[in-house]
Amino acid sequence: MSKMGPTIPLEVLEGRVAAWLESEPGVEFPDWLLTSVFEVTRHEPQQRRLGQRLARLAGWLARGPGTAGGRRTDRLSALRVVTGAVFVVAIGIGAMLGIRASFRSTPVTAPGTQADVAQATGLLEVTLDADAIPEDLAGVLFFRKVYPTDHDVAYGRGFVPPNTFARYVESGELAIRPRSEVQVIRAGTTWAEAETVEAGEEAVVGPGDAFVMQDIPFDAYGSEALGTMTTPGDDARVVGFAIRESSRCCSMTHAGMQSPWYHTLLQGVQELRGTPVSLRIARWDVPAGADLPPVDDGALTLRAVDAGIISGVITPAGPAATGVEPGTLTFGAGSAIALPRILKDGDTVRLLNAGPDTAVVYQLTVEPDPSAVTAPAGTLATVSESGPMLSARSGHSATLLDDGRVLISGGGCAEVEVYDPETGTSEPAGEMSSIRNATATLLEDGRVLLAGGSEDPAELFDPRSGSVAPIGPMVEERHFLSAVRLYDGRVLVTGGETDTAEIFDPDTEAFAPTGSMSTSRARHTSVLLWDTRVLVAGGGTPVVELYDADTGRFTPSEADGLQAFDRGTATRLADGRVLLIGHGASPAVYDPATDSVATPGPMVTPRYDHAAVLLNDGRVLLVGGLASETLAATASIEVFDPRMLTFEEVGSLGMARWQPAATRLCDGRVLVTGGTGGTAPTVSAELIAVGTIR
Amino acid sequence: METPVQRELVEAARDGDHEAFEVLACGAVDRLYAIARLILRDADLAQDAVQETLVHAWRSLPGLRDPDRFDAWLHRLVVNACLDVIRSRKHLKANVHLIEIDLPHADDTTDVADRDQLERGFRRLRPEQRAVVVLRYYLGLSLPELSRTLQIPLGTAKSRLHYAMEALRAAVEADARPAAHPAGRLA
Repeated sequence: MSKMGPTIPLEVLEGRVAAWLESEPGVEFPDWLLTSVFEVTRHEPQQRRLGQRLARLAGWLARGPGTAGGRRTDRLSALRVVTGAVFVVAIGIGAMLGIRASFRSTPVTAPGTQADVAQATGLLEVTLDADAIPEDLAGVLFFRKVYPTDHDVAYGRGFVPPNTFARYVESGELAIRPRSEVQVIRAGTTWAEAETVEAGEEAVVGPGDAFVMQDIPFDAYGSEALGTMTTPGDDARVVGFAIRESSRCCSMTHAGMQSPWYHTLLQGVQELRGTPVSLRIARWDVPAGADLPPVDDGALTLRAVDAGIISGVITPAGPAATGVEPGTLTFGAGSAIALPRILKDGDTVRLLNAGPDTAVVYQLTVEPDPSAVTAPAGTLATVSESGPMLSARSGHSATLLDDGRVLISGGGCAEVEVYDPETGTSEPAGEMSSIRNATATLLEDGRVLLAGGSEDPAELFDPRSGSVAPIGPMVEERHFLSAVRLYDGRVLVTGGETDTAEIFDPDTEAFAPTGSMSTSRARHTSVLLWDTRVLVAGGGTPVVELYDADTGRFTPSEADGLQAFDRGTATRLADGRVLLIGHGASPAVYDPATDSVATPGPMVTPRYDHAAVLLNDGRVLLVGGLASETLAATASIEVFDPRMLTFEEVGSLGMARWQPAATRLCDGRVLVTGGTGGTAPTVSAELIAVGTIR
Repeated sequence: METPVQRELVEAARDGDHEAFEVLACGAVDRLYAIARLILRDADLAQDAVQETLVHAWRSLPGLRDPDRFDAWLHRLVVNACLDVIRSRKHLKANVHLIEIDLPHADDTTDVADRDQLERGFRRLRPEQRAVVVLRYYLGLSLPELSRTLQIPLGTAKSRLHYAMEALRAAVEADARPAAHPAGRLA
């Protein structure tokens, strides 16, 4: 080793090194992490003898780590033996009704590669090659370090929860073996009834169940429905997991996500519930200063950033990307963002690696699987008769419950019933205090708020007890009101022959006034937007108002081209726009991103007092109603295509009806109930399956 | 070096007493974390290594025959955990850069430039070399202690430390050479 200058004496160097090491700032090991370690060690057996260790290893290799009570996890065992040390990214997707869980293992290693993992209707496991293990990977439930010769203890950094756990799929159910205490909330139960699963024990969770780890406190958004949780502080990690009937499982984790995006993500997942999804994972190595390949559509997307990235900037290419303010949304190592489904075709989002180092970016895309639509591609709508309701109803509500059933309420009778798509029949589910056309709003905890339509107090339907119980009075008596659940779980109730609004808080089960609208409304409609605002439209006025839950204020839209309408529907499209259809106006597509209105092509059968449902493939199904030209009930079924802004008739109901209710079921079919056929409400119910886009 | 109390705790933990282990771990964890941070130069990786160390320690504690060697044993575990972490993440080496958030402490003996030199030099050392440097100059272990801690022959400990310091010296000197350029330093 040649030396060009005077050599530093060893003693001097030693002194400098010692002083330098000593001068390093002392940092305490995080308490929460230490606690999590203890959670593990408290349940971790000690290795006492070599014989025991060998026996343990042999047993492990023979049985697989998830073995308990004879349960086999051959696939994971094989995966483990073959691949050795890997990280496993696990994304839980609940099983479709009657369909065994599927399993895919897809390596995503090379930069720029993209792997399609289609129709993940079971537990999905994505294996990352050991040579390309990401340091941090967000947008997945967890990743797990697997040791070839040891326990499946996984300590991770970044997004691995402090107390990670193993979980395995078995016949469409999921077995979890926690490393620390886990609370399992069974379907139809409450937190108070949660089962405790100790570390080392195994629990099987099935449709409708949710589970959480205990040492992570819930925040305000943690909900029974999703089992979401966060760690305290800025370094928030969210893990949500719930298995719902018919693929209603969702899972996610992220760090540092901003609140609106978080809500968007949750909402996106909720939108996907009941829908088989396809997952796509892509990876790019983005050099410093370079752009990520354009994000091309509005898929629900998580972006995970590897460590070493300093920051990135996301910039909408066009004005249509609502909610993404140019240059303001940055993310760093370990953070993730969710792009709401607000981008139009052709819009792109520029993702720039503004850091000094190559950024490794992962993208997890969750999209509805179009094949979920029952009818095959190219066909129109297939209509079949279902079992009738117990009571004739018109102008009622039909609300999809968390368990896949449908609560049917109002419409001229006090009795409430629950329709079960599996049997095609309804069962009585209690009675409201009076005959009322109350709004029915599904709460995060699975209950349904029945509000307005009479002077009586609001009521809550609890699917667990199958009954209706009154709660406190509303601030104001309302008729022909509208209600919508906000991102934070509260419910906004607007109008009802008044310009006032109020908020229902499910925690206190009480109503409180909020800001007022600019005009009185009745028979209007409201819809939650991707950007967390609420659009209120119709009610005989052309004014569209936007409610901001943070400020409690309504702001009128300044968009041109809106016409006064009532007795209509507002349907949020997959791209964030809203389709408005009602009496007295041409159909309109309102874009909250630009506060503008587009006029779609003419409807085949202009109508009002109809029902509208967003289909899995992004189209909107319009059924029944009063035909504007004839003022007679129509049986017409037409579909609105948001890409082409066109309407197409796809079939007819077996019975013409107006004021029906339409509900998209978990299997993609649409349940149409009640309405008025001739002169009286009907008990009739029909099921529609719409073919995929040809 | 362990106190009688610590020896009792080690023995109890060795017999499966969780509370005793946790007392021991609480007393050692910050030191282990510091060692891991110094070797790995990354807080997150160091957290991983310490977690691995503690769980490994709990599992393997029955195998510790001499309770008085608990501290040294822990040091060896954390060094090994650090080496494992580095090995398992070697492919990411190019992407892992330390982003120091903590402001450097004012220090009479090491100025910023000196720290930077040492930092860069240290990063060029092999992980095993970093470990011996940390154990020797941070924990102040003697060469025999270092040898026992890492369970390597005394001669190996000496040579490893020697080569580590030589490499560090070479790196520091090489790093210092551009200083001759008038505008090349003090960024």
